[in-house]
Amino acid sequence: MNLIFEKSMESLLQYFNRPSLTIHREKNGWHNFRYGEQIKVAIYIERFVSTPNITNFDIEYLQRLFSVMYLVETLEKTSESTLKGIDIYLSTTPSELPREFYSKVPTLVLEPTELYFSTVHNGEAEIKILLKNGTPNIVSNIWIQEATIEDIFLVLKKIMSLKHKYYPIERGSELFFRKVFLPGVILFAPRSVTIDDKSNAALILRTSIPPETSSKDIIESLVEKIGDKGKIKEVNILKQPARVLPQQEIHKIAEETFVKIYKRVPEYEWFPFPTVFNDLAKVNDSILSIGPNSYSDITSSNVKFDVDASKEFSNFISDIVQRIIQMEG
Amino acid sequence: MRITTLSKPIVSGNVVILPVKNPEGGKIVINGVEAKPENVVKYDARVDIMDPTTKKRCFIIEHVLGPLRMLGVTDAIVLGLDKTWNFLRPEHRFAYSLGLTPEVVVGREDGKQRPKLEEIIDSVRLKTDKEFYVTVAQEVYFKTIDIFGHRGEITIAPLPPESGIVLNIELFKNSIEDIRLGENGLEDKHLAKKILDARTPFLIGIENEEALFHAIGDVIADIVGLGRLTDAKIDVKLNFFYHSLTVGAIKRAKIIRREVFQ
Repeated sequence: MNLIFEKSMESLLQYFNRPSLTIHREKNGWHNFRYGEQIKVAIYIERFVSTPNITNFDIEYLQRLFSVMYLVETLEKTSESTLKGIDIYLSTTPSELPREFYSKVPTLVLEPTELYFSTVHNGEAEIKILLKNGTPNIVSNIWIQEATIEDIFLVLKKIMSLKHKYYPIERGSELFFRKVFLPGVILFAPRSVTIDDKSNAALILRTSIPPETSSKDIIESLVEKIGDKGKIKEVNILKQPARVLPQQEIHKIAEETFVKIYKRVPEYEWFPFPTVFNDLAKVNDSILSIGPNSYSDITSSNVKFDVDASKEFSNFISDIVQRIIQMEG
Repeated sequence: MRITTLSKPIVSGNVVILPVKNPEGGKIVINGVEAKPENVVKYDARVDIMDPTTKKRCFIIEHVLGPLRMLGVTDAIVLGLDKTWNFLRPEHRFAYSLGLTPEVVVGREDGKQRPKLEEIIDSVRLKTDKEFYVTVAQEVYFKTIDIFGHRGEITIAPLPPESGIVLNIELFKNSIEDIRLGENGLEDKHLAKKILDARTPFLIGIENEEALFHAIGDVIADIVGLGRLTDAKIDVKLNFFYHSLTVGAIKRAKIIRREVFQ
């Protein structure tokens, strides 16, 4: 694992440059590696961190990436014909998937789902809130700026507070909240704050939107927190939530394979923010999002890379891929 | 123990409970899926069942099964009534992912067992002339270690017919001994009311006294409800995610059944 940490993103990509590689395309931070002509299954690995180097926050990304590296290495030795049927797409930064990289074959989107099957991904909206002040914003009026900043802080604190109808949510229980409630919550977080010449503050918020959520629901949820609808100026839906019902052959195969490898029936959970899954869901209903059992709390410094979890997960996706390719063949 | 169903349908919060025409003793069917150990597909923080043929899944069944058995109802058909999604609930998100509708989740959103059910059951409880006796063939011992390292242990011992269920339970720092469950359900009606109104420990804290009351209902659901037991002595020390322990034990138990026609 330490060896991987010492490497840059670019050197990790080199791993996919095998002797049998037929195509390597790169666009907008996304790479496509292809080892044959008859593509029957696609795998996507999206990175959620922007740095050029591998950081502690990348552990879950490395778990996903490692499982695909292991898959490629194993198939190269055991079943080159299977490897020739796989399209691998991986991103090195959180960037938009280019249209020409939208696959229509059965697809696995590898995300940190902790072995949950995910067929629903939340969407994202951007909201503008205006806190009016009207006082000239002059550099020397530092006490006025202090008051403005305090207003912004108080509003943001309210916006980011978490509440539940039946259960108290306290600081320190956020991880529990994340696991139990978070994917279903309309969640707000700041993106930017600007203060104009009249000391009016504009807050741009990012919002995670669950399925079946309208702009009206978003506004109501925000009004509940800040108590004033007049402050909300704009709501832009950037990405719609996505749901793909698990009714295709890939879902059936993945469920059966999961029972075989993990000895239990798979469970379904939503992914709390939009990913490449939301884009692919527009053109492909044979997609499933899943990730290894390794992701607990990436904000902790105590997260460890689990080679065994990645290898087991690699075997799981390998079985799925082989069954799909045999079926298609 | 006499096989007991209802004289007419009743509504209890988010479920409707219907009588069974020819009750066979301990058979409770929820949303078309029979509640029995082989049909359990999830048992940790909650209990879900799935019909192996139709693949129909039903969520949080312990909050139906426990209340019915602790109020003396052995046979019933239960249907969920929820029509509105509450996506703060993991079970609703799971059901939505599969394209199901909200009524597949039969547990309540406030995490309580089934408040006030005792008030309506008394007037509709219908005892038949048919008796049934179910116990374990031999003593079952099972233990689990939860994700926090807490050890849970359970022993289910056989008892002769007419003995009823005797339960000794411990949940972290709280415990109750000698809880008795017979033909009329829990003998201590005050305790039954407390259990039916108690919220799930997973959300109010496992050391809360209310959590112990809730857990009694869950143990009755998992051991007595799923196992269809009428006579047994249960000694249980619960840990976190205790359904792994209780359902794990009943899945391993060999059940023996005797019927008496009058």
